[in-house]
Amino acid sequence: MPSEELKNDALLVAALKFDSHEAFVKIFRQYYANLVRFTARYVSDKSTCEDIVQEAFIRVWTNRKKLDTNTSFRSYLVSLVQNLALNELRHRKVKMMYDDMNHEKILTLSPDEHVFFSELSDAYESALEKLEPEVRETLLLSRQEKLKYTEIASRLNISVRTVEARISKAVKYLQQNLQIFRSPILLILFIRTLL
Amino acid sequence: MNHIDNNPDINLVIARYLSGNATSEEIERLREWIEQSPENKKDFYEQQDIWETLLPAFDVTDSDTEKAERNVLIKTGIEPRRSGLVRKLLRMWARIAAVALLPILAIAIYFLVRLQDSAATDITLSTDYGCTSKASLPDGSVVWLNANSTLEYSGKLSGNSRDVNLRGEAYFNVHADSRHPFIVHTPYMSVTATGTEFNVNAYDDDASVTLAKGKVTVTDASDRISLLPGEHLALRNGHPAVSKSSDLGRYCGWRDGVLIFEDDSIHTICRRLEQIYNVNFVIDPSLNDRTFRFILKGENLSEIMHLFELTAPVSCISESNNHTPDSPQIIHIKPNN
Repeated sequence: MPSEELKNDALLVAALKFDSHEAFVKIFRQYYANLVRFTARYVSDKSTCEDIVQEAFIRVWTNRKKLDTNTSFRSYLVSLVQNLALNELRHRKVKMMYDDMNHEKILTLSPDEHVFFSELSDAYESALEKLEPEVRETLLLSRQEKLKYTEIASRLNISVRTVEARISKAVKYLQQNLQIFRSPILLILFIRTLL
Repeated sequence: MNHIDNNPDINLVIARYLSGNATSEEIERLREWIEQSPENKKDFYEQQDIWETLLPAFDVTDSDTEKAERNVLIKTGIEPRRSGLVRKLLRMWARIAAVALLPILAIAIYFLVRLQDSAATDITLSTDYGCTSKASLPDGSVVWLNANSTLEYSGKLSGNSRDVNLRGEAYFNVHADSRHPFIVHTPYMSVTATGTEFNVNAYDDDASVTLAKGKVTVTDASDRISLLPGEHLALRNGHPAVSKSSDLGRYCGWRDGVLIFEDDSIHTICRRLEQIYNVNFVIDPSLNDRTFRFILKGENLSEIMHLFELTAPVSCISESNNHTPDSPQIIHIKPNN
C-alpha cells in the first residue's frame, strides 16, 4: 500500500544517507523489477532496460547524501529512470515500438503519477473476476497465451477490431476499479504524515 | 469522465497504440488528445500502467534481479571488485579444496553416524509440580506433558516402533507413520498408535486413556482394546472400562491449563490436584459423599483452595509448619459446621 511504502521509503532513504548498505539493497530489491518493466515503455530491448535501471541505482547511491526524505522517493526514482531512458532514445539508436515523431513526443510527456501494477495485483485479481466472460477470455488469450490480435480474432471468430475493443474495455474496467490506489490527494496526505 | 465520453473511440486508439498496432495517424491523434488536458494525460498514463503489467513486454525473473544486484553492488563499490586473476585463483582453490575435502567429509560422516548411534541414549523430559510443558519429538510428533510427569525415549525414535515411556500424564499428537507404530509404555498399560491424538493419564493405577482423533489400541496385562474417537478407557481395580466421553475437555483440558470437575467426589478432585500439585489432602470423612462441580483455569494451589472455600461450605487448612520445598504440602479439608 502506498502509505506503508512511503513511510518505509522515507526510513530507507534516511538510512541510505548514513551509508546503509542494507537499505540500498532493500530499495534495490523493492524496485528493480518494477522499474525494468516501466522502462519497457521507452525501450523495447530488455538488456538496455536493465542497464538503464542499474545506472539509475548507481546514481542513487552516488547522490545518497543529497536525497530528500520529505519528497516521494518513488517519484524521484521513476523520473530518474525516465530521464535516463529518454537520453538513451535521443543519443543512441535504440529500438522503439514505433519509429514515429508523435510516439517520441508521447514518451517525453512525463506521467503525473506512476503506480507499479505489481503493487495492485490483489485488486487486479479480484477485478479480473468481475469482467464479462468474453472480455476476460480475450484478455487471457493475449496475456497468458501471448497471442497476437489477429490470432485471437481467428480463434474466437471475431474481428480484430472487436478484440481491440474488448482489451480496451478490460483496461478501462481495471482502471476505474483501481482508482483508489492512485489518488494524488491521498499521496500528499501520506507525505504530510511523514513530516 | 466527460473527456472520455466526448471521445468514445479514443480508448480503442489507446489500446491499438499500446499493443503496437496503431497507424501513424492514430498516434498523431493520440498525442493531440493527450496534450489537450491534464485529465486526458492522466487517463492515458493510467491505462499504460495497467497495460504494462497486464501484457508485459518481457519477464523480469528473480535471477535477473540477483545478477543485477551483484552488478550494481560492485559498481557502487559496496562490494569489492575482484580482478579476473584473483577470481580465477579463488575458483581454482575452491575446486582443489572440494576434491581434497571429499574423503575427509566421508570419514567425518562415518564417525558422526556412529557417534549418533551410540548417542541414541535415553532422553528424559520431565515437569515439576504445577507446570506443564510442550515438546516436539524427533519423529515429528508433539507431546504435552502435564505436571509431575516424565517422558523417556531413546534418542532418535527411529526404530521399528517408536517407543516412549510415560509416568504421569501426557497428551500426544502422533506424527502419522503406519509402518512405525508409536507406543506409549506406562506401568499400567501400553497404548499403540500410528497417527492420532490421545491423552494418557498414568499417574497411578487409576490410569486412563482418552482418544481425541484416529485410533489407538490399549494393551494391559490381560486385554487388548481398540478405542474410537471420543472414547475414554479407565482402569478400575485393574480392569479396563470403556465409556463414551462427550466431553474431551474434561480429560484433555489441562493442556490449556483448564481442569474440569463435574459432579465429582471430593476424593476424585483431590486426587487430581495431588497429581498436579505437590500436595496431600486429608479429607474429613463427613465429606465423603459430597460431589462438586467447578472449572479451574490456571489458578495456583492457594487460589484453588480459596475458590473451594468460596463455593463449598468447607475450610481448607494448610499444615505449613513442617513444609519444606520438597515434601508435599498437607491440607486438611473440613466441613464448616
